[in-house]
Amino acid sequence: MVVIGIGGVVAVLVALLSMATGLTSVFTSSTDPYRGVAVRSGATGELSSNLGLDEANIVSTLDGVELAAAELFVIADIPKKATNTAANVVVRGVSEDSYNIRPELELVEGRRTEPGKNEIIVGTKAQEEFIGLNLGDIVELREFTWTVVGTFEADGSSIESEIWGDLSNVQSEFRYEGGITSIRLRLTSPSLIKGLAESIKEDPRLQVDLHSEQDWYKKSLQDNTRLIKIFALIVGIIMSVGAVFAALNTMYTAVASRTYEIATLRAIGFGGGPVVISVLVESLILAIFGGGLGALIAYLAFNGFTVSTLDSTAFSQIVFDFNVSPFLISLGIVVSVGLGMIGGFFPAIRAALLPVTAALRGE
Amino acid sequence: MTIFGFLIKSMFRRKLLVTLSMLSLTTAFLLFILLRSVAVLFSGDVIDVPDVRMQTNSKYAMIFPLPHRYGEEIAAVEGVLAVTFASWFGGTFREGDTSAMTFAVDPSTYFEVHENYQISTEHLEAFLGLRTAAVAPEAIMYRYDLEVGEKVPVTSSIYPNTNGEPWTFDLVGTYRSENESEAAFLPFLFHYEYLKEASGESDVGWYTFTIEDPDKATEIAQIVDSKFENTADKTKTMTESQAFRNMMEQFGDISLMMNGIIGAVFFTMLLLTANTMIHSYRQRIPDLAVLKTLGFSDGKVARYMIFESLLFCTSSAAVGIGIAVATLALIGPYLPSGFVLIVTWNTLFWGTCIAVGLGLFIGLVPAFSANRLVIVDALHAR
Repeated sequence: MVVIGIGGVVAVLVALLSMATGLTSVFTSSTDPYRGVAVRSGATGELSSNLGLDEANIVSTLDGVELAAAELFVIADIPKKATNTAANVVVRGVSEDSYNIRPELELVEGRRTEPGKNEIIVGTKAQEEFIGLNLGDIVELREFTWTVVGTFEADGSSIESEIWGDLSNVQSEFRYEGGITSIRLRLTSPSLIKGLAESIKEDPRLQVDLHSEQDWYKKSLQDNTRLIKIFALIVGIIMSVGAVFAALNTMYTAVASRTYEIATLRAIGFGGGPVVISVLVESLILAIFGGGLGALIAYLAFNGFTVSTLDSTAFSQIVFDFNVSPFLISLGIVVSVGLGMIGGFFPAIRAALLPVTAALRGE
Repeated sequence: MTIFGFLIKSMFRRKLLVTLSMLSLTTAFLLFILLRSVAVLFSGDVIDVPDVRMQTNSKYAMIFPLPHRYGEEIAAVEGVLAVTFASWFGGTFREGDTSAMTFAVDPSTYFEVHENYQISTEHLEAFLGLRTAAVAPEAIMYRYDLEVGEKVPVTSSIYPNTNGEPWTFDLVGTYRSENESEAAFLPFLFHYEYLKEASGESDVGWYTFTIEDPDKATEIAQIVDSKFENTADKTKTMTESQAFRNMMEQFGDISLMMNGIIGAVFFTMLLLTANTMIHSYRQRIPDLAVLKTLGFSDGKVARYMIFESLLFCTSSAAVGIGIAVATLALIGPYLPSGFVLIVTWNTLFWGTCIAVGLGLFIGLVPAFSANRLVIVDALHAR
């Protein structure tokens, strides 16, 4: 019973936290200190940013900029497989350098888009989650149709939830003639980013903020994982309280049903200390076993489980896998040890305080 | 002694054991209510607005704007009573905070369409009379510590002010809605004209309108959408509650997760409680034998066991649900805006069903054995 109670707590806690861990890795897995993101001054996401190609041209000529890619971020409605209702997907219009800046992007199937054609490549996560994004499929986005010519992976980062097309095509078909939402940069050295951000800020030709890639994703990360973490904490605490009651219950029962044996031990000379320790150790072993079992269940049931949710910064779907990391498994075990300690402590004290003679008479 | 008193006495024969089990069952029901309220929020069922209110968004995604002239065309559709529009401003009241519900609206028509919003005539007149005026619902006033008469600085990442400073609005009034589910979603409102002048924005975010007959909602939605079918800005019209449900669905599998956790919690608790009941039964075999010796029938003794387990489960459930409801009422004002956690009748109903079901289920085994108990053996066990 200790095993089941604590196993349940650990399974739920680990599952919830693995959701947060999985979502975190989407935003942190492939950030590169050489890279920066330039958006309109004050914009907190690409959704609220708008720039022109002339600004991209100016930025690309600045000192320290190795590569610069103008990109356009738009949103399209595509039905989700799970619910068959439309949800927002990011469609990114990209330039040649967008690929050079992101070497982690790897085509799994097909080829890249050809300029001037209504072709798209699809992130594997987006493909998994949405209807009709397989190689060769014709997709209707806004008023026009596009052909899926390739699928890509990118180290598990957020672009795997996106659809990529040629910048000029996305601009014209989504009615953003000449507009872009961000300039992705690759610098010659990571140390340049601060100075470059300042000189861009002072440049009268530019209304642009430059962020390091890490800082840029940090906000998305906080917005999206904070609630899950708080929630996991609350649920974990309440469930733990329930499990401690259950553990206490079991250990009291165990002590009660072994009154005679414990009294015998005391009678043949064992002190209170060893009795306390023996009950505690028993509770701990059961708890650790339960914790391990719970973590295992969480791992088997949830590791790699793919879900999608609304990225509140980009207002579009972000697809991610649950990630039951070794850290979470050890956290689960630590929690179970704590619960086992509490659950075993009071019954152990009671066992030690048993009046020996009365217990031996079976009273 | 009444039967009820007898049941309670016998239930608490092992005080510690039963108290601890009750506490763990109580936490299970506490979690049930809390998790269900989160699941209900993300299923979009929390909003219960009048079905006469409809919303027209861009067909492609709700973030795309619509032309200003659509308002008149929607108003011309038969059965449409009043039309208003709003634009998502994405304002934040404090640095680093997530954006709150802040809409740029047409003040006079907005309150006509949202006729259930309550605002005093004095506040409404003040709002209408000043270009930089704003009104805030109680939830936002409370959360950001605002007071009527204050100048409120608001920053927006979508509409940065030309001088780079935050926008300032004169908070001239407050409004509310009696509809509890709606209250948490009420926006901070200010003049669209002010935004238009300062930013050059000429499109609007979406249209909201009221219709005469809620049964004609689908029909009217089709008429409205067909009007704009051949324009570049096609529309999608639906009832406001449907639009809200679609929005919440974007959060995806959260309610699925909640239900999964609830399942795990109850599975665990079921095993734990069943174990306790069986334990407590075993210790009481001699008592039951005494009852039977005294002339209580097999059926009666079996029924006692069932009633006892029912009593045990329902009282734990009642306490757990009570704590959950009280907790939600307490933390409600501190939740982020739009985070409305309510306990629906549906949730209460299922909570009760589970409590009764659980009681019957775990009472069955002891009841069955009690029924078949042979007096001599049982007394002998003593």
